[in-house]
Amino acid sequence: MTFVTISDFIPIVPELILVLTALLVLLVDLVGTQTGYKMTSPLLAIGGLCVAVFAEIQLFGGNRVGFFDTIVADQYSILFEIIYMVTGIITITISWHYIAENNMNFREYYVLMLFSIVGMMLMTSSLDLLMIFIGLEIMSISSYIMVGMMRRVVTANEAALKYLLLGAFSTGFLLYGISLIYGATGSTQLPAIIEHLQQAGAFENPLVGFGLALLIIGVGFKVAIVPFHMWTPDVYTGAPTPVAAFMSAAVKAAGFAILIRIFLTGIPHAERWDNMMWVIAILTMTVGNVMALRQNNIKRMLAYSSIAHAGYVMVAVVVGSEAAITSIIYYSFAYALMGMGAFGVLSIRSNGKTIETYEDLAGYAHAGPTEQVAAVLMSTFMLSLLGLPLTAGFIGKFQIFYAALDEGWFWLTVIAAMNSVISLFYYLRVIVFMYMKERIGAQQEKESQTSVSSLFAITGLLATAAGIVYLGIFPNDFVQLAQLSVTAISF
Amino acid sequence: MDMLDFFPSSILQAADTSWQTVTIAQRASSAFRDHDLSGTIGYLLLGLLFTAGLLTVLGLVLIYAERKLAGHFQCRLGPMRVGWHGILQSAADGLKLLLKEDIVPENADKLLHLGAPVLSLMATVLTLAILPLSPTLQVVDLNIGVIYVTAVTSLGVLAILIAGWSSNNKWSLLGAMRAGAQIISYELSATLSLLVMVLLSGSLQLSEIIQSQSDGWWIWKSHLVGVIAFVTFLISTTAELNRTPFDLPEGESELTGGFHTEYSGLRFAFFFLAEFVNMFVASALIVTLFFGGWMPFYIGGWDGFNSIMGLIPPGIWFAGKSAFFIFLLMWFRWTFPRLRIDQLMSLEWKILLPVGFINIFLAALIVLFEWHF
Amino acid sequence: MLLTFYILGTVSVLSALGVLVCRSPVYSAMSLVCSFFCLGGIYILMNVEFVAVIQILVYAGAILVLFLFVIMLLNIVPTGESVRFNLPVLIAFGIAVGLFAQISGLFLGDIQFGPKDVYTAEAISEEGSIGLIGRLLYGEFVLPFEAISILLLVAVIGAVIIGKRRLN
Repeated sequence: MTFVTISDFIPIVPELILVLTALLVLLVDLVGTQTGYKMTSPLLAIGGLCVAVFAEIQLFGGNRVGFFDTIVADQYSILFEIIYMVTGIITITISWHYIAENNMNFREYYVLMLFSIVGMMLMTSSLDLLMIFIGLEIMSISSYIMVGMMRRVVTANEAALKYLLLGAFSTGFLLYGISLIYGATGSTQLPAIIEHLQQAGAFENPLVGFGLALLIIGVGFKVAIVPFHMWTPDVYTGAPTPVAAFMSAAVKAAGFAILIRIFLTGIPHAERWDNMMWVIAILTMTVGNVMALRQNNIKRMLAYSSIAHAGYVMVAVVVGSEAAITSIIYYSFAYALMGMGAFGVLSIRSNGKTIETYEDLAGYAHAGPTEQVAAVLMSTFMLSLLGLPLTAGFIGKFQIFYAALDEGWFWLTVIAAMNSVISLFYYLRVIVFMYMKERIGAQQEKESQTSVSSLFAITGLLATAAGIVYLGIFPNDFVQLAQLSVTAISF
Repeated sequence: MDMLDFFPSSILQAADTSWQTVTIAQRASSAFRDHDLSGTIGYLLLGLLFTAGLLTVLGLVLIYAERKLAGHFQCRLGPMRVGWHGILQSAADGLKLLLKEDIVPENADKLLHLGAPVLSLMATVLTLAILPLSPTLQVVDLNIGVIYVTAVTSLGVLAILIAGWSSNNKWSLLGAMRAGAQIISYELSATLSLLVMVLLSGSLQLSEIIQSQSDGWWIWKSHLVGVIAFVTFLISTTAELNRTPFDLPEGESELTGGFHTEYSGLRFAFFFLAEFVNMFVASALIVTLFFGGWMPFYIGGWDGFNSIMGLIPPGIWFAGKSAFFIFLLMWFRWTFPRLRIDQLMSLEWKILLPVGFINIFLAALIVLFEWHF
Repeated sequence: MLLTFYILGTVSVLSALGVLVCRSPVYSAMSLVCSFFCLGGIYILMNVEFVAVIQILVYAGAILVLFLFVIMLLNIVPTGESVRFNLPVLIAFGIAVGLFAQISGLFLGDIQFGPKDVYTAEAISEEGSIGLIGRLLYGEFVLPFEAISILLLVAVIGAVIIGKRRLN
C-alpha cells in the first residue's frame, strides 16, 4: 500500500496557502469586532493571494507531480491558476465598497471567494476526473452562495435559485458523463483515459461518445455556451456586481481550462465532433451579440457579451491546434481583465445611485472626479472588449482568428469577425451615453462624494486597465508563457 | 510503563476459554451446503421464531418492569391484581389492545397511517436479528454489524415522522417533528461513540467486538476514551429513545401523546412495543460495545472466583448486563426532569458533539500508538 | 442472483417513477426511500455491504428525513390538479422521450466495457469492502477525500449565510 509523502504536497502549496488564508479570515471574522467594515478581511485575503501567486511563480517550470500522479503543477495549470488569483485580487478590490454600500455584511464573502479559487485551482491542476469534479463543485457551491448573498434583494434570490438549480442539474450531467467514461475506459485518470481513447476503434463504443458529450454539457453550463446559457443573463444581473465579474472571468476561465485538459490534449481530432462544435461556436457568438444588442440593462448586456466572448473562445476550441490553445489562454486572461473591469466600474455608485441602464450612464463622464476617471476606465474596457488595436482584446481576437485561418476555418473566422462588428454597436453605446448625453435631472444632485472605499476600487481598476494596455502593446511575454504551457500539456 | 503493565495482568486477565461464534444463519447455510433441506428450513424457521419470541417476551417483561419500577419509585405498588404481584398484567394489557377498536381518524392519510407502526416495529425487529445474545444465540452476524444497527434504527425516525404527519393532527405533527429533530441530532454523537469502539476493537462485526474484549472489557481497557464514549452513548441513546429527560416528543402536558396521539388498538401497541424493544436494543448495544457482551466477569488472579463466574452461561451474563442498563434507563425516567428544547439542542450540538469529536481523535491516537491494554 | 437483481432493479425503477408520479410529496419521498432500499440490495449483491448500509443510513436515515421535515414544515398539500399539457410541457416531454430513446438505443448497441479495475467482486469479498474502501480513501484518493472537507465547509458557510436570522 502506498502512502502520501511530504513531497506530494509541494505541487499544491499555493492551494494550501489559500485554504489557510481562508480559514484565517474566517477566524478573524469570529474574533474581530462586529461593527464597521474593517479592512482586515479583504487585506488578509489579498495578502494570501499574493503569497500564493509568489508560490506559483516558484513552482513554475518545475513540472512537479504528486498524489500518485494525479496532481500536476505544470506550466499550464500554473498559468491558469495565476489568472484565477489575479482575478480574485481584482474582485476583492472592487468588492469592498460594494459590500459596504449594499449592506452585504457577510465577511464570509472573502472566505467563499478564496475557497472558490481553491476549487478552480484543484480542478485545473488535477489529472483525475474525480478530483476535477470535486474542484468544480467547490467552485460552484461557493459561487451559488456568493450570488445569493444579498438576501433582501428579490432579483438576487432569483438569481441564486436559478443558478443553484441549473448548476446542480449540470453537475448531474457531468457526473453521469464521468461514470460512463469510467465504465468505458476503466479509469478516472486522464492520461489512462486518453491512452485508451487513442486506440483504434475506441470511439465505436457508444459509452465513450455519450460520456464525452455529457462532460461537454456539464462544463458547457459553467462556461455558458449557447444551448446551456439560459441562466447567465438573470444570474449576472441579479448577483452582486463584483460576483458577476468574478464569475464571468474566473469561473469561465476555469471551465475552459478543464475543457482543454479533457478534450484537446490527445483525443484524436477526427473524434472531436467538429460539426457539432462549430455550430455551437457560431450560435454562442451570434446569440450573445444579438441579444446584447437588444438589452437596456448594462449588466444584462455585459452578461450576453460574456456569452459572445465564450463563443470566440469556442472557435479556438473547434480549431484545437497548439496556436489555438495558446490563444485560449491569452484570451481567458485578457477577457478576465476587461470583463472584470467593466463590471467593476458598474459596481461604483454614481451620486449614491447604482448604474443599471444606459440612461443612468448619461452624463457620467462629467458627474465628478471619481466618475471622470471611471469613465476613462470604462471606455478602455469597452474598446478592449470590442477588440480595438493597442488593447488586449485585439491581440486575443487576432490570435484566435489567425489560428483558425491557419487551420483553414475560413467561414468560421468570417462569422466571428462579423460578430465583432455587431458588438461595436452596443459597446460604443456605453461610451456615447457616458460622454455625449446630458444627465437627466442633474439639478437635484448632491455634491459628488468620493469615499475611500471606492478609491480602493479605482486603484484596482486602474491596474486592470494598465494590464489590458500592457498586454495589448507588449503581448509577447505572455504569449510566450502561454506557448510554454501549451507544450506542457501536449501529449 | 509500570502502571500499564500492572493493570491488565492484575485486574483483567484473559479468559481461559475462547468462544467460537456460531450463528443461526451460519448453521442454516452449512446445512444448505450439506444438501440438508430440512435442516436449512429448520434453522431458518428457528431464526424467525427466535426473533419473534424475543420480541414478545421482551415486550411483556419490559412493560411489566417499567410499570412495577415506576410504582416503587413513587412509593406505590404498581400493578397487583392480575396474577401474583400483577405478573400477568402486560399479557392482559396486550389482550386488551388486541381486542380494542382500531380507530383511524377521518382525515388521516389512511395508507401511511396504517403503515407507520409496521415500519416502526420492522426497524426494531431488524436489529434484534443481529444482536449477539450468546455465542450461539445470534441470528446473523453481519460484518458491518455496527453500521447496520445505526442504519436500521434510523428508519424508526421515518416511521415516527410519517405517523405524526399522516394522523392529520397538530399535536401528532409537532411531536413527530420534535422526535425527528432530536433523533437526527443525537444520532451523530451516538454514532461517534460507536466509531470510537470500532476503532478500538478494529472491527464492525458485533461478535468480533465481543471477542476483542476477552482479555478485559473495553470500559476498563481503553483509558478514558471508552468511558467518555460510554457516557456520550448512554446520553444520546436515551435521547434517541425519546425517554425522559429527553421525552419532549411525547411530553404529555404539551402534546397529549406526541406522534402516536391518534393511534389506538393494535397499531398503538406496535409503537409501544417498538419503543420498549428499542430500549433493550440500546442496552444490548451498550453491553456489547463496552461491557464485554456475553463475556463473564473475570478478575485477574482470582482463579476460584473466575471459575465460578465461568459456570454461568454467557446468555445469562448478557441478559443480566442488559437488564442492568434497562433498569438504569428506567431509573433515569423517574429521576430527571424534562429538558427544554433549546437545552436539548445545545446539549447535543455544543457539548456532546465537540466532546465526541475530540474523543474520537484521542481514540485514534490511542489505537495508533497502541496505548490501550 | 440474477433474478434478485432483476426484482430489485424493477422495484427500484418503479419506485423512482413513483417519486415523479405521486401527487403527494410525502408519498414521493417514501417512494424514494423504497428506491434507495432496492439500490442498497443491489449493492449487497455486488458484495459491497458497506456501501449498501451507508446508502440506507445516509439517504433513507438522514437525507430523506430532512426532506420529510421540510415537506411537513412547509405543509405542502397536493394541489389536486394534474399536470396541464400546454405547449412547452409537450415540447419538453417530446425532447425527453426522444433523448430517452436515444440513450436506450445506445445501451442496446454494442457496448464494450473498459478494462476491469482490480476491484472485482471476488477481490472485494476477499478483502472486505470496508478495508478496501478505507485503504483507497486514505491512500490513492486521499486528496479528493480531504478536498471534500473544503466542500462541506463551504456548504456549511452557505447554510449559515442563508439561515442567519439577524442581518447586521
